[in-house]
Amino acid sequence: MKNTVIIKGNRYGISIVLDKDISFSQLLKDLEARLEGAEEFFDSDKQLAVTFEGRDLTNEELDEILSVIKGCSRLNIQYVMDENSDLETTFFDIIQTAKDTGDESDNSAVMEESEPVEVSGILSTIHDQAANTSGSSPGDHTVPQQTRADNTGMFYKGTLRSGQTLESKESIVIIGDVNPGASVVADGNIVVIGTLKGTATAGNNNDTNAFVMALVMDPIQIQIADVIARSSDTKSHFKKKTEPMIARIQNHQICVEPVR
Amino acid sequence: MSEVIVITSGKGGVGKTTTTANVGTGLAKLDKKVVLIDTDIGLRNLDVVMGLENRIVYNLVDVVEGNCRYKQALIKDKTYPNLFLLPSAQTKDKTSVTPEQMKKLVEELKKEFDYIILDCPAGIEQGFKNAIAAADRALIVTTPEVSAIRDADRIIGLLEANEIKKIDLIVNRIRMDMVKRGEMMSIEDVVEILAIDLIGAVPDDENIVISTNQGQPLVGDNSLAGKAYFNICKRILGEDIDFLDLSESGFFKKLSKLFKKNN
Repeated sequence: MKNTVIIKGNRYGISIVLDKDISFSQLLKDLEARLEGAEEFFDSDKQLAVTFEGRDLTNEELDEILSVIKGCSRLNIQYVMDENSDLETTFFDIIQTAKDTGDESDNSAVMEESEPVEVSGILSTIHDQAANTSGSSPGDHTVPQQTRADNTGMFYKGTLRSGQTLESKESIVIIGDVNPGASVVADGNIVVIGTLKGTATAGNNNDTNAFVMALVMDPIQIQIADVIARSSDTKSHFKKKTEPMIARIQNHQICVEPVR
Repeated sequence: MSEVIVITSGKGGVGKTTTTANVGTGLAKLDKKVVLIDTDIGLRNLDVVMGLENRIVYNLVDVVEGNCRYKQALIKDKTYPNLFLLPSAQTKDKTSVTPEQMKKLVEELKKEFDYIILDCPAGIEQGFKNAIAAADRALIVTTPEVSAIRDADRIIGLLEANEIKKIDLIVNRIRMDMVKRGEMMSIEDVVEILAIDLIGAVPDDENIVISTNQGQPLVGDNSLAGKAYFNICKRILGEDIDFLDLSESGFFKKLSKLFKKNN
């Protein structure tokens, strides 16, 4: 039997190839059958971009297909691509603009870390998120992370005290201070809206484009990817007038400069 | 309504025991019924600082093990009849008491006392856990030194994780002359890093050495440290008192005034 509905995964979402000859109602039935059969392949609650190939669809037909997909699978379709555009590139571009840490997806067939495919710049994504308050766990070492599914960064409100560690596979924004003895580890960037006096590790997945920014930059150590820099041994005793600073890698070294 | 206060610091030697003795005595002076508990098992010294070491018959470990009733272990203070001490054991170690036993004991004591003050040992292991188990509030003692502040910060994190919400700071052994020369952190510097409310600052005072050696807490005395501790006690009771001007360095200032007059 000829397959009228073929579902393919790519790095950024799925492609559904539809037979162009059969009737639309038959197509819907086949789609349902195909989705039910394939349910174990698709991870629930992942947000996806989908593109349809092989058949021209009117808007109403597209709506019907989407509701079928929603009805009989757990796929969470965020975005529908126009099949005429160059698929791979467009997926990639959308993801690039939606997050700041670059391409994180891997090549495994279907749905692991599917990124939210929203066409919004990084800054507006961060502004739209409500600040999460996160308390420390009784066991004391790692502070539990609370992330929403559509975040590209994590918020922590409060002072990070000595002995506490905050980790994330994305970026971290801290609204508060990071005291000496505390450490922040992110695969993405680190932004401290307060004083950074502890240890910050950004780009933990070897991303040399990550940065660390703080309103008062006075860290014990900063690490970006595999480059580590430490604070100077001479500490001045009087308070200098400080401005927000950003640390990033230039020429294999960590450079700290004022944020303009 | 009894209040259970733990006096802790993380770092050793910053003045927890001295503070416990003085705050306890000060509250007793202000007519409260107070019991001090030394939870540093194996290295007890609250009894020495209070001058009551020769009156010890039973101790905290005896009480939790059921060898005696707590009333038999309590020692009444030499000067104030409303002040009691529950001493620690010198020959056991910190594993002899559990947090649950502490909680049970404190519940008993709450029926009789207005204030229960727990002198916490240095560190963050079993001794610390025992001391904070039954506490409602904490007083963190720190000196204005980076190492002490680092440890105090850690302790504050642990206290917050253990749901002790009321945490106040005592900055001990501050030397205003060094602060003015920029050689010591100021009280404001310390408060800025630790980000908790300041309940008092006690200056470095020779009289403290004398008082601890003689077993006579100096709270309420005319010395600067005595006044500072007494103010802390009043603030614990809810009074709103201005902080002392600690730049009156007492002895040296008087001496220099004397020389100036003679010129």
